[in-house]
Amino acid sequence: MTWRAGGIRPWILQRLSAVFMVVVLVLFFFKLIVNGPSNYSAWHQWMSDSFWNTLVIMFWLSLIGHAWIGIRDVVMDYIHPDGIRFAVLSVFGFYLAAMTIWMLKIMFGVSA
Amino acid sequence: MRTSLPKARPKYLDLLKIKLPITGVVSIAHRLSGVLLVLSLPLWLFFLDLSLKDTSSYNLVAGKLDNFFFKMLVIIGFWALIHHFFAGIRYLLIDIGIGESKQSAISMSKLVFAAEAVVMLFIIGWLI
Repeated sequence: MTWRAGGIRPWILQRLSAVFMVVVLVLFFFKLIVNGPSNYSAWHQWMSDSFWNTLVIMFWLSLIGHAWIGIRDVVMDYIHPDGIRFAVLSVFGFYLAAMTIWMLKIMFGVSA
Repeated sequence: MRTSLPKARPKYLDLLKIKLPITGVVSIAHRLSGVLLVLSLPLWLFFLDLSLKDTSSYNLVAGKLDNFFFKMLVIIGFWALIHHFFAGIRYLLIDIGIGESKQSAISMSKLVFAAEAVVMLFIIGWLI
C-alpha cells in the first residue's frame, strides 16, 4: 500500500457518489412517505423489485467508496505515525468489506 | 528589550477557547456525522436484515422498536444522516460556485441547521 493517496480521482469520486446518493435517498424517502409499504409483503416486494434491488446495491457501492475516502481523509488528518495509521485504515477496510458482504447477502437473499 | 514574557499568553489552538464561526461548526459536524454514519452501518443493516426476514421481525422494526435505547440510537443515526446530507449538499453547491462569499456562506450554514432541525423534529415526532 502506498501513502500517495491522491488526488483528483478520489475528489471526483467523493462528489459523484454524493450526488448519486442524494438522488437515491430523495427517491427512496419520497416513495416511503407518499406510497410506503403498509406490511411485510409490500416492503419485501419493494426491495425484491429488480430496479430497486439494483438501485439499493448501487447505493451501497457508492456509500462504501464515499465512506472509504472520507475515513481515509479523516485518519490521515489526525493519525500521523505510519504504523497506527496503517492499522486503523486496515481495520476500516476489513470492516467495510464485511459490511458489504452482509449487505449483499441481504439484498441477494431478498431477490431470490 | 523585554526581559520576561507575559504570564498568560493566549493559546490559539486551545479548543476550549476557540469560538468557531457557524461555518466551522457545520464543517466539523459534517466530519463527525460522517464518522458516525460509518460506525452506524451495522445498525442500519441489522434493521434492514430484520425487516426483510419475516412478518414478525418486520413488525418489530415497523413498530418503531419499542425500546428507549434503540430509539436513541435511531435518532442519533438519523441526525448524522440528515446533517451529513444537508451539509454535503452545501459543499456540492460551493463546488459549483454557489455560496462562496462570507455572508452567503453564513446564511447557507444557517439554512443547513434550519433544514436539519425541521427534518429532525419530523423524525422525532414520528418515532415517539
